[in-house]
Amino acid sequence: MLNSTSLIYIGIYLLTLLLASTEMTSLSVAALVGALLSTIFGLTCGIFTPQEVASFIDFKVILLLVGVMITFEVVERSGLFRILALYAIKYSRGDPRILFFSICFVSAVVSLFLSDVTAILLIAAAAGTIARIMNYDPVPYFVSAAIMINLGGTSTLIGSTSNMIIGMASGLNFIDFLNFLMLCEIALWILTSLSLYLLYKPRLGEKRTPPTYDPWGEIEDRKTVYKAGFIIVLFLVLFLLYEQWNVGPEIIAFACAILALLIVDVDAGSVFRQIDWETIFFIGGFFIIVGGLEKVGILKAVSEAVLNLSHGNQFVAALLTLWSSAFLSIFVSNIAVALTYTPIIGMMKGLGLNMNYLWSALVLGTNLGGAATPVSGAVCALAIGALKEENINLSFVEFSKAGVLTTIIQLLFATFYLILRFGM
Amino acid sequence: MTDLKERILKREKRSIERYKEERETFEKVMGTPKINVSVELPKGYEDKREEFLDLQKEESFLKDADRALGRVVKKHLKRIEEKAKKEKTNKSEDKD
Repeated sequence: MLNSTSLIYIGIYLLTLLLASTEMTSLSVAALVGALLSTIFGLTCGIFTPQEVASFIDFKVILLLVGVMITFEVVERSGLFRILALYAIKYSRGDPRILFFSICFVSAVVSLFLSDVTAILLIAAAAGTIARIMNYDPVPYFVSAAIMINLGGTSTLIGSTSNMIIGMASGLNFIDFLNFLMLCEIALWILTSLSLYLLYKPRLGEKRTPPTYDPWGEIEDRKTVYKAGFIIVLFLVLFLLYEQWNVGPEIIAFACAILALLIVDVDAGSVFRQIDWETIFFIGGFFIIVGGLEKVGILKAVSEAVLNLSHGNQFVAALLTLWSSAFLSIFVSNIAVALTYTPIIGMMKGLGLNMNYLWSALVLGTNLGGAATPVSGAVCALAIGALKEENINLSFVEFSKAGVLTTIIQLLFATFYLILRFGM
Repeated sequence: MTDLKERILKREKRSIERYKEERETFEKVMGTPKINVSVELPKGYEDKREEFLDLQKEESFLKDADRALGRVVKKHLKRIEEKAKKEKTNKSEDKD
């Protein structure tokens, strides 16, 4: 039975989610309000000490996130990803089908490195420009880009903020992520882009004469682009090797960020101003809320309930994790879902379950639920906002048709993949 | 739901500004090239400051300006073309 303390902590948690998901206030303020209430209540009732509150925050996650943000902000400023998008459009040679698949592919690739918000602004701008020049309907390209950006990076430690949280909590390294999930992600790219193509085929338009241009046309300094390319390669190599040197991914990310600032000619101050403090404060605040839930034993109770429901069967536990985390991610931030689920899954360690199975299910669930509806993630809302700039009002239902369809297909495939990869 | 959508879109306004900047860059590369010409308030019209600034919102003025500038641009591009042709013929005559 739940006691009054537990009920108060559940109330704080639900209040935070309500404030955040209904956009009554920003995500960060919602989490900080929750953290403040949780701290005041915990300290006055003697549930935890001030030192314990500080220990709830995993600063390694914050460091990793900031390191990745700085590194790829510098790379993005070089124009490297813009060149990639311009080449993709150029080589589609005016064929809307090739253009559609190129946009889908580039969206997924770009989101391996950039935050979803930065990636959708870049890809939507590229797609919007070519759609206007070629007189194409931009809706298929914008919606598909948002869905593919949400999907891109599912199999990498740095592909999304939720992956970084899960990676740091589980101890899965960059290679583990690739090993367990890369094949699944590639298959999902193909499956999702094909589904979207079939859905939007009648709206893609006819083949037209494309504009002739030089993708490097707006680049003033080619050396900066080469340096940015070098940083990406170095970043990936170091992430593949860091385990051998007994250092964490956060150290590598931060080292790459410093190197990027050193060798690429950018204004460090303006790079720091672009750091997504909203997400960082949200994570910091939510760590404290989840820490409170853990301290009063709620998360342990949930963990035991999952084990009871699954009767100790790892396949059922993984399925429960996958589908429930995906379902929750449709309505609330997948960062919040990842922060809540990681301690729950972590408590199942040592009970004879294959932990890699459960962590993989959580990674897939938190990532795949992020593009079902316009309120599922910032990337979807921004795609709609960008379409509005193109004088097109895309309804909630119209976006959700594509979003829900692809989310269901992705989750069904993910279930099938998990069975194949880890067994029943 | 509409209210929620509106609130979300309002909050994303800053990102949309970044989208516009990004789109301008892509337009520069893929679209029809553009040059910006600024026009100053002509001498003798100093008391018409506000009316002058309002012209940039007036459609008929923008159309007239576009047409007039179009003629000037064509004239100058033709002149450049003719100059290049002349230089070419002069060079080939010198060779002969």
